[in-house]
Amino acid sequence: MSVARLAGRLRAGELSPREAVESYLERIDACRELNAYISVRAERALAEAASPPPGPLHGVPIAVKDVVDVAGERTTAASRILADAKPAARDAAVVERLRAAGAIVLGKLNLHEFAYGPLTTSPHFGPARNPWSPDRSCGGSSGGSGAAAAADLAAGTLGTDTAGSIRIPACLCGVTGVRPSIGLVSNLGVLPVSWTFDTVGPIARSAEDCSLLLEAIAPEYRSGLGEGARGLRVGAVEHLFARADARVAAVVEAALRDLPATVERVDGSAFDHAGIVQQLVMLPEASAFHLPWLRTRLADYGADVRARLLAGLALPATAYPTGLRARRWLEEKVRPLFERYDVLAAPTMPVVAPRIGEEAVELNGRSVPFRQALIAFNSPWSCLGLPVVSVPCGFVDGLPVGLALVGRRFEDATALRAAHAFQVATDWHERRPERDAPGFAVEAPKSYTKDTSPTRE
Amino acid sequence: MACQGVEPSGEDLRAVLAFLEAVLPDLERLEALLPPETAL
Repeated sequence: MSVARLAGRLRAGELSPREAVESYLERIDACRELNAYISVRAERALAEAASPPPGPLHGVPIAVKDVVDVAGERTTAASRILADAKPAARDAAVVERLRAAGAIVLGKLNLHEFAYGPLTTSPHFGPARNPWSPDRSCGGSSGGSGAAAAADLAAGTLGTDTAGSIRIPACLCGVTGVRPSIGLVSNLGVLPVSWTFDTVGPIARSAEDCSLLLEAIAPEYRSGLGEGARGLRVGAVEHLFARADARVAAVVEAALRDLPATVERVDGSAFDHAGIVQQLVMLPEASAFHLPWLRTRLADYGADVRARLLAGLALPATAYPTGLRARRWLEEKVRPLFERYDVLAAPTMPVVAPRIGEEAVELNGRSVPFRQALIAFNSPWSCLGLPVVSVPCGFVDGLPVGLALVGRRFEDATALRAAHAFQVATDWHERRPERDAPGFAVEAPKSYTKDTSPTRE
Repeated sequence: MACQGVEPSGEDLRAVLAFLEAVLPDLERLEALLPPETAL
């Protein structure tokens, strides 16, 4: 059930916070095959459900990626290195704010080890599985958040995004995700990947739900969903449509026709170097943070994360200042685009979810490493700190496709307005995984009423 | 890198070299493109 609807029913007294928590705990238990959760705080969540604070999220059960501190719980980052870490002494700032708004934390969600990869295939905690097809990846690094939102294992979730880690799983799992503007949401109490690019944001069922969660975690954010999208000028970034799988591009093209705004084609070549610019800054920062463990626990990293962290150490010293300078240069190059357009649009991802274990994907007849295929679609926005909303907009081979809507920095409300207007006009965000998907049974969405909660039937 | 008891394996080093081979030409191109007046 959506955050908005559940919060309404809780406010109306149609359901108690305890009943809501119990229903989700039963569902989490029934969907263990997805491996979306690393830890479930069943007893504590039930105890907290006795008297959650009043607020817009009063009694709403949520879950957070396991790089976000929750007082009394371990933050494992899906790593062997932190698997036995001491429990966090205090909540991350975002958790503190969610609790103050009345939310109840159900548990902590699976991710790519140390949030440093796009697949959520931790060798230490196992892969999270895509509710649309359990042999497929749910993307990453916030893969557990995407899977939990899609399979209704929490009303809403938090992920983090450095170079795509909210947008990728939101897109591949057919749910809505927001990478907020850099600086809008506090990173305090969140394990870093790259200080320059890290953000915390919601993954949930709809733009409306994400907006509610963002209002709770970002004191400066004010929702403008009611304003609609009429009058917004949207630029569809042409070269990203050309680079995506032709079937994915066709789905996103069709979706643009449902966006109630003025849409024009734009040349996005100003963003051409964003991928390398982000790598030059992100890799040294990640390696700097991990240096103590690289010295003492090297063998305890998964192979892919270890290789990227070592690569960050091997870059020449000129790479980092060049990356920072180039970021400034890019900001100047793209400024004219945002003078003309309120929102840019593109496919969130060029492909649908790959099979678990596949390192390469077919992209218009070529085999391309999965991670490399994504860079051109993710880095332009994260490199410049822009807000991005990914909304589900159709299917290819029964797997979800996403539309990315990008706003000016700190105009997160505008990107969410466009996303909400799209969801008012369409119902892609209401589609759920089949009840009898091969190999995994995802139950139909629940109807939380006092008398007919399906978990009590 | 000073590792305490654990050294990168041959496979690790091959992965790092492959990454550098992919990235260094891009870095050089970017350095050539950047206007000298672009500050940090």
